[in-house]
This record gives sequence, structure tokens and C-alpha cells, in this order.
Amino acid sequence: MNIFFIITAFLNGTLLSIQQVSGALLGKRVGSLGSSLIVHVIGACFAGCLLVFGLKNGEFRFSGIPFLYFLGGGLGIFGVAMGNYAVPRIGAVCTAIFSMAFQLLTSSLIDHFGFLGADPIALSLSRFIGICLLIGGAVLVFKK
Amino acid sequence: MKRGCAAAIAVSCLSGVLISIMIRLNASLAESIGILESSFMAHAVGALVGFFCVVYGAGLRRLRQVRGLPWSYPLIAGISGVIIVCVENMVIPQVGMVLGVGLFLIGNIVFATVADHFGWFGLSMHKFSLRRLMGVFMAIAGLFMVL
Repeated sequence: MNIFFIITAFLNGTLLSIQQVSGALLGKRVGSLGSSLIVHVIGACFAGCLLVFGLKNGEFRFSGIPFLYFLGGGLGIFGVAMGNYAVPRIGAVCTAIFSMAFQLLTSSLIDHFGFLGADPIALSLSRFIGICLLIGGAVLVFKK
Repeated sequence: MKRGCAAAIAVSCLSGVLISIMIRLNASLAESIGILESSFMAHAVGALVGFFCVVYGAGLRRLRQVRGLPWSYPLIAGISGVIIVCVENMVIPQVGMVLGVGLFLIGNIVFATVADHFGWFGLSMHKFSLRRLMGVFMAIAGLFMVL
């Protein structure tokens, strides 16, 4: 297992915290859907600029790629909308825990069956226990 | 417990399912058209869907209230979003979903705990407790079992 990918993925999570905080500050003014819209527009402009200035490592083509692959970005917005529904009713902590738990469970199904273009990685017992520990740890950290 | 609690729990769970599917779809797209290209598409499609959600929801007028906020907030959030999706696109095909998402979440938990402890970003101060520390270690132990 390449240690580089492990460290990068971990640091990526810290970046997520920074994004969540700045997005939440934005959301207090314009609502979380509005905040999400602004963040996506700025992100698209930023990525577009990088592409124009030559940071390409592939090429745009639409033929031969399942249409479903292009819809990923739209799902993020629904995630935000769902958070808007859940947080006032069960609290931010519960929402985060349930969402994280199901992210991991869905991930293990995608890995196991190789859904959506993934290379299959079988769900072993130790992997399953590991996922349970991850979820348990998150509950301990977040629960008041 | 307020009313609609079960529905809210189901919705939170469903949001987790959707986020995982989103991460995998972006990674699969990246394998076809490139990492940054996929991140661009994800943000462009997200912006389009978000635009319709805002138009039919709160309305675009509320977006004007962004005036007066420092420009750094939306810039930081937008730029880090692009980097986050790029890194996921790079890492997920190499290490798989569980490990990729698990590391991502642990990084998030650890940083949030540290930021919380020192009161960064003007968040409320929660001191390190033994329980929190145990939670972090338990999550890391779980990660090693997945590894």
C-alpha cells in the first residue's frame, strides 16, 4: 500500500474541515443551498482556469463514458439539502454520525461488488470489524 | 425527541449513501477523462443543480447577502472543494472506497477535534476529553484493520 496515498487522503480530510467551516460561515448568510451553489460556481471557475492554463492530465470526451458518471457532482447538492432537513430535527452530531456510518457501509458494498466502475475488494471479517470500530470511534468523538 | 425523528435519521443515512456514490462516480469519471477534468465536471454539474435548487427554493435574492462577507470565505471553500475532489479522484482508484473514505473521515475527525480544542475559526472550545481521545484511537485502530 502506497504511503503517499494514505497521507494525502488523511490531509484531504483536514481540508474538508476547513471547507466545512468556511462553507458554514457562508451558509449563515445565504442559506446552506446558496452557500453550496456559490462554492460550486467558484470551484468550477477555479478548476476551469487551471485547465485553461494547462494543468490537464486527460482530455474531455463524452462518448463511451456512462452518462451516470457525469451526475456525481449533482448528488453533492442533494446531500446538502438532506442535511438541511435532518440537522434541525436530530441535531448536527447525529446527522454527521449517521451520514458517516452509511458512507462507510456503502463504500464497503461498492468495494465488495465492484459497483460503478470500482475494482472489487472483498469484504473480509477484519475489514468489517474495522468499519465498525471506525463508526464507534466517530460516535465517541462526536457524542456530547 | 422531536417529531419526524425517524424520517430525519433515514435522510441522514441516505445522504451518506449518496455521498459515497458521488465519490465513486467522480473517481470513475476521472479514470476516463482525467483527475482535474472530473473535478471540473463535478463542480459544473453541481453548480447547475444547485442553481435550480436555489431558484425553486429560497430564490436567488438571498445570495445578495453575501456582500459584506470577506471574499476569503467563498474562495477558500471553493478552492478547497476542487482540491478535495481531485485528491479523492487520485486516491480512490488506488486504495479502494473503504480505505479512501475512512482516511478522509479520520482526517476530518482529528482536525475538527484539534481545531475545537484550540478554538480555531472562532468555534466553541471543547477541551480534549479522555472519551474523545479514545474515539480517535478507536477509529484509527479500525482503519488499520481495514488496511
